[in-house]
Amino acid sequence: MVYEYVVLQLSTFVVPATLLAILALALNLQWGQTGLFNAGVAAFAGVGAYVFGMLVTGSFAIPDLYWSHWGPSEPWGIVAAAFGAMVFAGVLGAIIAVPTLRLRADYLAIATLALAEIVRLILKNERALTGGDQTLAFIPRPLDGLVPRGWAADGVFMLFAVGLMLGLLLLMEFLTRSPWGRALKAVREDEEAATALGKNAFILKIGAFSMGCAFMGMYGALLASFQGVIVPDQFAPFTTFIAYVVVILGGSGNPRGVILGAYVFSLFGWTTQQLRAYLPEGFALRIDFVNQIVIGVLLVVVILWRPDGIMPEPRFVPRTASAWRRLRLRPPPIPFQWFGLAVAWFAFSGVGATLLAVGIHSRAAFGTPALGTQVHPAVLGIAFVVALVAAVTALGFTLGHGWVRRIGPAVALVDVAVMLVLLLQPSDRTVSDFVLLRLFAALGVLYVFVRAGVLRVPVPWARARGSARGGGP
Amino acid sequence: MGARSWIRAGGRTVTGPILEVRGVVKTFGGIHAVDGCSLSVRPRTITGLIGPNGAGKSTLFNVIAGLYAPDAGEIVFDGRRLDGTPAHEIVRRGLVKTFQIPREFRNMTVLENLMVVGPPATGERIRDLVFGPYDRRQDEDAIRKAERVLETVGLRSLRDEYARNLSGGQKKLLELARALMADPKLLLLDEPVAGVNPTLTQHLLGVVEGLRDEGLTFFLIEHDMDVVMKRCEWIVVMHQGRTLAEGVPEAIKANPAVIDSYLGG
Repeated sequence: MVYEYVVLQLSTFVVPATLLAILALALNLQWGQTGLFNAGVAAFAGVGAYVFGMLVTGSFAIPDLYWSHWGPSEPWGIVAAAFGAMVFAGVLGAIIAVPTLRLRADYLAIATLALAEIVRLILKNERALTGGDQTLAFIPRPLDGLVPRGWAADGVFMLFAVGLMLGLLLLMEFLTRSPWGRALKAVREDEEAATALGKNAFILKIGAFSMGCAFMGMYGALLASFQGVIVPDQFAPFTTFIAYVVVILGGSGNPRGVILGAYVFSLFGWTTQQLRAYLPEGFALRIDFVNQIVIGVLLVVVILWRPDGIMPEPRFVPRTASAWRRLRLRPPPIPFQWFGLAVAWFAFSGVGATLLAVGIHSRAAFGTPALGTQVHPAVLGIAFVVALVAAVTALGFTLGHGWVRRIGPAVALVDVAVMLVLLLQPSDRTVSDFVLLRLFAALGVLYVFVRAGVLRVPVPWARARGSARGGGP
Repeated sequence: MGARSWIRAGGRTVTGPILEVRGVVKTFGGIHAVDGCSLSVRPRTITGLIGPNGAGKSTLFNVIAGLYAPDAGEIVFDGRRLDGTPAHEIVRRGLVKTFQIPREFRNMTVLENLMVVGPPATGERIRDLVFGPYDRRQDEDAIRKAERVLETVGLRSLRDEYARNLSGGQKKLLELARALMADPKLLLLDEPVAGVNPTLTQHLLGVVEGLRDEGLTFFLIEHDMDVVMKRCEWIVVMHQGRTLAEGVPEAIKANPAVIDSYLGG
């Protein structure tokens, strides 16, 4: 089938590029936003990958209990293991940062550079735990055993990774605009001045650093899961170098730019790999080395001619008018905006479900109980187009408020994740899971709305410290 | 609420000094930069700190602002001990210092520079962003407040300009504006008009006097004797890390020790 081939080829590009984007987003929080020179990106990625791998394959467990071996088909176990990897990497980051961040900036670089080598050598030599150079293998992917390995599994993983990346992008965009992000930027620009203006630079730096490290751990877990097999030498200093190239190429300090950088960078490598078959033999063998030279030259060119990257950090200009007013239109009443959002939600979940059904090809779209039936690709195609049109139209209605507008895709992503689990559950559990998961997703979204101040609900935490609005007259 | 109600210092009569420095010592290696300095600053005044180069004026300011820890002595601000308090806490208590060489956040806009400082933001900790009372509308309050401060110092038209593109004098004004965002009671200004053209100097000093009339206290280092003698109500002279003299401008001008060590014939 054509789309089998397309999905397979696409995922060989999109998955590595997306994972790289996640790593670069994590580094961007440290380097682009806060100016912390982390020279040990590889260490945190490696720690994340190995903690995840060990938890999930049971290498870490006491054999007679074997509690951590959840087996390949338990999605929540994998999520828990990935979370464990993130926490471990984040805590390691905090541990290394506490003594070094009080000192001058260079010491952090030295300490993390050393840490990267220490971690790699430990992973290499503690064979009882990590398998050392013999590799740590049989690391499962999410939904393994339900989706057959091959193009379908790659397609599902691709959706999964892109979803995570977009979620992380939303988080980073929110954080960079928050007072916290602004304070980090101030610390990056001039730490002493920030301190003299009442910022606790130390706490800010620790927070940004460990959060970045945690997401590097998440990258490691995703990488381990995608590859299925990991070796310590994957986490050599070159990983760190690549992450910096991507951040600088894309635009240090701009999450969207960083993602663009990761895709541009990966596209280059992927294209040369695709061309390999058509190149003369002697050159084809050396293409990887040529690649590295070109990457180096590219970096120099970017720094010389576009020092802020392809998509530089955007200038902060406060928005005073909503999208509707900027379009010189009257915004629809709030209930209509909510209605539009609800439609967008379900329409996007339709898009997600259709895509999934295409990926899995053996289950019906839209969560109907017709599990195991074949769906004609034409039906899926029509469903996809209809759902997409509905989604875009509905999102149009939600342009009124910044957060309603922004939350639309996030809601859809949560829902796609829900559908993903639903479609792959055994049929007898479908109904109860459907209700529960939808409920959780809805609660999560509601929570985000209340936190963002879109919904005015008298919740206890909003009253915790008197007026949350500071002392404006 | 009055037009300038964001300035907290007014509405309270303080009789004693707002800032008192007693026997502060700060050494770097073998050098006694500040060597047992004692002085006091009365509220609602512009007090000048003068002295030859290397007298320890900037070091003393850094010690007061908490950027350096004093080796000995004590500092009392607004009735409470200040030494040993971390720099970021000192700002919250109402004492802000500006820098001799402007240290603007270069790659942030003028407005952003100000928004970094105030109002004492919820949402500056991850905890607040996730669980706490962070509300995006507090940003709008910060913007309104920043715009009022920019109006006061006369930088309104440069609101969305990158701070790095400002002229030297404008950067000095930005320093002052940024400090004002913290709702200070006492401002330490380290050479606020050095390298600023005469027109802008007059403007800046006008701003300072206006704010003094509203209840703020200024303590400033300055080498321009015209400025110091005309604008300051009280002058402290430092020499070799110690206080050499204190008094009203006329007394300082006539003090033989000051003439000998600093003012010259």
